[in-house]
Amino acid sequence: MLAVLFLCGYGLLILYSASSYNGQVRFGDSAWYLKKQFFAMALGMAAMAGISSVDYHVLKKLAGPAYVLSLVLSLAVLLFGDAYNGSRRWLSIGPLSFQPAEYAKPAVILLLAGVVSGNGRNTRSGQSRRGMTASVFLAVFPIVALVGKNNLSTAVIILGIAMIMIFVSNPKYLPFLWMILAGIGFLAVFLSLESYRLERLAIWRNPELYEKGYQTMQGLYAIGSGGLFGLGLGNGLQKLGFVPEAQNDMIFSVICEELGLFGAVLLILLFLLLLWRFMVIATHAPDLFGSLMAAGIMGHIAIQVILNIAVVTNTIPNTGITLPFISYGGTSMLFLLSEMGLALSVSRSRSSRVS
Amino acid sequence: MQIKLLAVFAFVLLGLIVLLLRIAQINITEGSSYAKQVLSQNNYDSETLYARRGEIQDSNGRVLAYSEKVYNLVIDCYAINQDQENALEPTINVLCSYFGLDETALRSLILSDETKDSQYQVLQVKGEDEEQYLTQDEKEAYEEYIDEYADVSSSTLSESEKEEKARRAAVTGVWFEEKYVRHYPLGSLASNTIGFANSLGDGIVGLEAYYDEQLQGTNGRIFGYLNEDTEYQTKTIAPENGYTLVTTLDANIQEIVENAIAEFDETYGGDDDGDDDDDDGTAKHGAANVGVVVMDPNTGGILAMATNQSYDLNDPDSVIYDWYTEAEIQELLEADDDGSAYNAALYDLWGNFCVSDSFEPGSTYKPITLASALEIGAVTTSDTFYCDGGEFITDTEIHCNAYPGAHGLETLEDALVNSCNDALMQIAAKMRVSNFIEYQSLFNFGKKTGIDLPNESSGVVYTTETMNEVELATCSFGQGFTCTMIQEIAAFSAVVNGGYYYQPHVVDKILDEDGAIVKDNSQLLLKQIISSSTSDTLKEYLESVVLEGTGKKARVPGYRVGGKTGTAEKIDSETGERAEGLYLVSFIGAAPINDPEVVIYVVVDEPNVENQASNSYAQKLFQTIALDVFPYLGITATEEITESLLVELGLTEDEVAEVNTVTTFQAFDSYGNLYNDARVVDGQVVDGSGNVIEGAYIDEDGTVYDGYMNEVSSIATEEDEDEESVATNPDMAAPLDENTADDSDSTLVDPTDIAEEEEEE
Repeated sequence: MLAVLFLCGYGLLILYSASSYNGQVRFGDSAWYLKKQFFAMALGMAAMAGISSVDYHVLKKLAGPAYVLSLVLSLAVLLFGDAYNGSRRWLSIGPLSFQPAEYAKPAVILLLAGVVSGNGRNTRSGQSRRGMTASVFLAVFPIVALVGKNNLSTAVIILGIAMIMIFVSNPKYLPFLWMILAGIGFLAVFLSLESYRLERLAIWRNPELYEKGYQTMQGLYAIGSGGLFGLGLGNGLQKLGFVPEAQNDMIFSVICEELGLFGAVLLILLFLLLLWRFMVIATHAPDLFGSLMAAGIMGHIAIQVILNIAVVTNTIPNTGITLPFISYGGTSMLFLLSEMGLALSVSRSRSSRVS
Repeated sequence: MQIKLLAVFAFVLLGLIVLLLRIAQINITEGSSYAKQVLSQNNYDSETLYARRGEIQDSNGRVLAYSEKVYNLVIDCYAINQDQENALEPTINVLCSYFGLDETALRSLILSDETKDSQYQVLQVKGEDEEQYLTQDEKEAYEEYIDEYADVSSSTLSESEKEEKARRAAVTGVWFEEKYVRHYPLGSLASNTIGFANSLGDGIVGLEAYYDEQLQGTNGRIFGYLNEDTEYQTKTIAPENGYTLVTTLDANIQEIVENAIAEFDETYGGDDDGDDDDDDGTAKHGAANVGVVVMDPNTGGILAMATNQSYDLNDPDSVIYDWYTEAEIQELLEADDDGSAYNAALYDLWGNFCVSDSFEPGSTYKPITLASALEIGAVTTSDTFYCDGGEFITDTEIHCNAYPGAHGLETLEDALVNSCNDALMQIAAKMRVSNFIEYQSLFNFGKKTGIDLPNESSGVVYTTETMNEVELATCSFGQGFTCTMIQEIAAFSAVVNGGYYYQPHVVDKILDEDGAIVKDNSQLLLKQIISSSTSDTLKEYLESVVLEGTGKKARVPGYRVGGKTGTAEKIDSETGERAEGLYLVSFIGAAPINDPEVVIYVVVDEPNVENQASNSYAQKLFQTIALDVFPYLGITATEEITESLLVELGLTEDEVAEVNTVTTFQAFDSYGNLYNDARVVDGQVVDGSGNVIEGAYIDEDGTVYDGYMNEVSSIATEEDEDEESVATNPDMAAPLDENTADDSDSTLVDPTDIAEEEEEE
């Protein structure tokens, strides 16, 4: 799990470089973002350590309530949430603000692992398998709907996680092909429902022609000017107010600008190492629940990494997805590290059984 | 299930590899154009707000260097072409009529393919030879012109005025880019000390370079960014202007010094070929180097520092024509491809001889040897020495300056008055190497003084390991080691000010924009090297040097001057041998020697004369400067000026200061503080700095009483008010007769008298 620590360190470094200008400008403190992120990271590390020492089977019983809680929170945020940057995604509890959508991801992973492994005995009969798939979607649907109301990208991620988990637990391939096709069809309908979504598509095709393509273009400029080894840490120009939200979604462009292709490859290798570990944990887990949990976490991180980089490189249309461990975001950091705790717990129970 | 996991992993791997390829593709295909884009929008979207470089002032607040905010007139061709129909004609029209620009040139600038999309084209608004910028007033006048009708309702305007209003309102894409230019209002004054900053605002030499960071300030920035809703927002970080340097320099003294150097250059300069074209490089100057430093010995503050290499700070490159012939310049330019030889020559000329060049000081070092020897008790004031014209040290014979003659039997005082090398060698031998080196180091020779000017040289001195008897002997009279002018004057100041070594400095205070003190250099006393009694002895000796010794030509009529001459044969830098006929002559002097207020050090390096060894050039230069500087500083002229003295020195009565007949006396104020230099000015009893001494008063009879009601002096009351009041000591037998004022030597009350009077009360 050294990879996690390394990623966090890498993330802090880049974050400081990317956010110091915005922090200086908006809050008069170049380390403003760094401090907040560091606080969240410390909290997350504690959570990771705590969770990893707990037997994950305990969590199986909590899956249901945790899921219900995520539903409640998502509902609450719709009603009483704080708007920041134009989106109502935050719940304030005292001085801390909190993004329920981030919480929903591990909650869904837990729930699905619970549901699927609960039905595991019956997976051989086709009937129950279909039933299970249906029940999974039934279970996931409410949270997807609630979250998707104002945070489409998170909803997509949750759906994706669900899909990967079912795919892994199910021996068949064909239904998933249909599912993917259905998903694409659904997306097409969904996009055409509202004109602004189609507009995004148009921007994606030709970002330089649209004013709203500014963010994308600036990101591309940043990547393009990085070269093989980049301009050097802290020397990037694009974060100086040009790439909007350089510390958030577009942080990968800052990495490319300052550390070049080399830095990007290093980062991607780190993620791959991490995902490989999850796969190993999933394969060697003592039971289906643990295995599915690891697979879910793997899916979660893989989807976010791929989608984020794809957005920054304008490979897919722009949508707000953060880069795990690197982007600024306290809630995200906290729950990602908690998920690491889950995975560690699974990994530990395997090793303890072996010994 | 494992297979499926692997499949997912493989899928992810594939995805990431595709994305990496995509990044590589962006870099390869668009890299350079995107990188260019980044740089260009950097100018466009965020604008630097330049900080104003701080001022440099002299001690009287006179501005030596300042920065003026000026503007470039910039047009945005792209913006004009976006709305060509409405904007093009009015913009060209207004710019041409207001600034008198060439219409065809402007039109082609806006419309030509090369520049039509440019958003940044600086217009040449002035004639060819002038600087291409507008002053703040010119910019504001233009803006007023544009806005003249903006707030006037159209209904009140005539037809032609309405047309004019529309025309001016349609002007597009014209903006002003702010920048600063540096001005040096006094031109070449103190140029080697102040130095200059280039057009980018970077200090190159002098104070401008040494204090570059403090002067520069921090640039601010206006930048735009898009928030998540892609709304354009701007934020301004205001620039922090640079700090102001208040120097210890006095522009008036500096001017006196520079005029004297210029006069010297004129007298001894000029080429010898008789064609009077004055284009013979170095030959037109009076010496290879002339350096003068004027210092306040009681603070270490530099009052003036000048060389004969001054140059116009507003046009620093022009100095090259002053020292090189056209042919030599051509040679420099052709010496290499990158112009480094030419630049090196320029930097050399911009340098400051007074701090960057080290040389053998010669006999001006003798007071320091003597003071050290007295301080450690190696000699006493009653010792005598016998000069036989030289000394044999081991197997080397070192001559005295009297050789082939000799000084014979001398007292310690005579040794200095005659500048006797033989005696000095004997004194140094008594000191021994370790003590000599220790005191040389205490007086800061061989170490940088830390003066706040760049490129200070430390000189080269012997160490206890490298100094043997021969070296000790030559060092005793200032040969064999090197020092800078600033080292010598700082050490000499310590000898005459009671033994206190102050760090020499040029900047007195650094002020921020609001005038608050950021740094205060007024307390730079580093150490006491010799006792005040040793200092008193040396002052007495140094006065004798000027009155009856080698420094007689440096006498300044009316003033008590103490000083020392120096004549050093130079070493050929190539052979390492003594260079026959090349000399560095110098004179260092303080006044009034009983309580020095100023020290002046003059160095003339290789004077452009037949007999370079004659010290008179340095002494004469010292005298010329002192004759103006002493009265300017308000130093009281206490000495008699006789006709014969003026004749001997070749001076006229107009050139010398009037002897100030103000007499000083001792007085207590009502708190019991004793003032040694009390005097009567405008009917009030004041101390030496002009502050009223509390409690002291003058009664109707003209008798002066101090704060304890002691009768301390009396003033003659019958003379006309314009005349200086003359105070006399009541203890003197008769009141001082006005007509015999030239007899007014020191009339100090003996302190014991006052003490007795107090006891009587």
